[in-house]
Amino acid sequence: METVSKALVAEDDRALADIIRLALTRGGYQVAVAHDGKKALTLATNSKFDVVVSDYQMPLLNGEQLLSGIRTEGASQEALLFLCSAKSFELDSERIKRELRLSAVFFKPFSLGELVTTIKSHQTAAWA
Amino acid sequence: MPTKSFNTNRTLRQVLVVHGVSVILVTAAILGFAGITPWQSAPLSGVLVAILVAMGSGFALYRSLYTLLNIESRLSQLAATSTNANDAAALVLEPATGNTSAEFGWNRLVEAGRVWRAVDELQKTLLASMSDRRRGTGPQLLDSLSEGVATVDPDGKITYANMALAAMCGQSNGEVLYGQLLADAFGVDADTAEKLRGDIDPAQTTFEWGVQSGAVERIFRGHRRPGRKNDGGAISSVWTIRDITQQKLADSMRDKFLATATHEFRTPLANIRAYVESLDMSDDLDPESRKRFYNVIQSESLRLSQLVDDLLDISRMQAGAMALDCRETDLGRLVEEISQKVEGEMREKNLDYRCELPPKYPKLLLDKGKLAAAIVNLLGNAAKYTPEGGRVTFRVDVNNQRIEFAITDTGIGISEEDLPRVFERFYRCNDDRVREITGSGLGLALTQEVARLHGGEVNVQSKLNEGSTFSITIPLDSTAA
Repeated sequence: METVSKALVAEDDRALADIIRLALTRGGYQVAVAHDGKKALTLATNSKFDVVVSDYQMPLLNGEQLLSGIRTEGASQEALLFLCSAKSFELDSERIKRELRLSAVFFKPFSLGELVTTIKSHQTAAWA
Repeated sequence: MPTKSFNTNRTLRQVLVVHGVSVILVTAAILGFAGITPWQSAPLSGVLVAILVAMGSGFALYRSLYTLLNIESRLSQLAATSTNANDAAALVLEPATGNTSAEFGWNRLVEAGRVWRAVDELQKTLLASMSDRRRGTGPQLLDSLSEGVATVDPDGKITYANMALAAMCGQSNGEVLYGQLLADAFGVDADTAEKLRGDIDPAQTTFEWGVQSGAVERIFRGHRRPGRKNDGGAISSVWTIRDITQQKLADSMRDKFLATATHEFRTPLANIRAYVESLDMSDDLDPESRKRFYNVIQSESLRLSQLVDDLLDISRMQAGAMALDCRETDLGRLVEEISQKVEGEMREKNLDYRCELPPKYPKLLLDKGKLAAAIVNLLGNAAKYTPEGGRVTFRVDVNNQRIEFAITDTGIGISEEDLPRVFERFYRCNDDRVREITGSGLGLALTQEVARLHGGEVNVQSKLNEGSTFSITIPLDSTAA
């Protein structure tokens, strides 16, 4: 029997966090939400998540620091990581993607449908 | 108070700034006239008009300002400058014989006009000097340039340096530098010195280098051109060097602004796109969720529109054309509306939000919208930069002379280094806690401009990790209804 995948959404904009949570829930994920980087890191360190979707600019820890922390230690080290950012040209996304083994980087405003589809396709590829 | 000046050249502007006059520069008569119109009710301390201006006649502009706009009742100083002393004198004297009082600023403007004429004389001397070049007055001409010029011998030692170059090296005349290596004269590090000597790439002709000058790094750009060969065939060089520190700063501020503005636009756009998509894709949404989604789209659209307004205000502010729409204002209601706007934010962060308000308010002529936005901005900052559980106090204090809106918080505070710069456009404090919070760096600049336009000012007192007090003070005499 296929188990329900667990996703963590780290996003300080509450409205955006809510709608990503809804989209992922509808996509069949069990979703937890954190509104700052530190809380997200605590959650990801203590519980195993299959997918982490993180904003870049957040209070206490930014997205890069959070995802780096998740990769370094804790229960979600092998999670598929996705970064969303409102920064574009000033963010060295290729470097971050390479160094932290991110599955994909999304630039705001992005399509929710595309986000969920991309996450699912990466999961399918990981299971294959 | 700012002074508006028309078609003044940079030198004059610098002279005025050095004399403590805040200058808004308009470089064409048409812009000038359009620019001055919204300032009719603004507390300008003076207008300085050049008789020869681009895109129109300074003479006509001057007349229009004086007669059509009846501007002398609001401006105590109206001056004109011209390279033709007779023109300027006639125009300066004409309104000065009216009822306007000659204040301190007037003298400054007239003095500045004189300086301008002196600059013109200098330019004439320069032209004469150029025609005398063949008679050996070349160095005199070179000393008049703002660009640094130096010649170096094949060993890299300075054989000539003009005044501007001497000033760049902290010297009062070029002769002191003769015999020194160019790199030593500027005090650059070993790597840069190697580059400047041409040891690394002899073909390189353009160089940029930084020199630490106290807390500030000054950036120079130099061009090296091969000069004459000496008897042994070795080549001397001619250097032209410019201090590009300000240009670099402006470039960096523009880039930062572009990055911040883009970020600020993308965040509400992300919400609008996500919520519209969700409404479109979810036929089974319950009416309550549907309504909530529409509300998010509406509030994010308003956020975008507010951002566009802020950017336009900043742009008007830079052009010196931000106008006030002053009307008799019920301050009690205004303060109530302001509090209502920020209460949600205060509650969300569990802040102890207190209001200390006077029992009675005077009736004042204010631009309600702009003043409210300025105060909301200060309260919003207090909420943003105060950790959960902290306290924010909004105090309104009125006496016979002025009204003061003061916002005190127990937030993260501002360091001594950042404090003098917080009102600069696009400036954000060099504090990780600030950088984690979204902000354009425009709010305080706009708030200060709104206070200035009302004849008032914004003051700040702050201590790092203890909190800040920002207060807007507006004199009652400029706003009495």
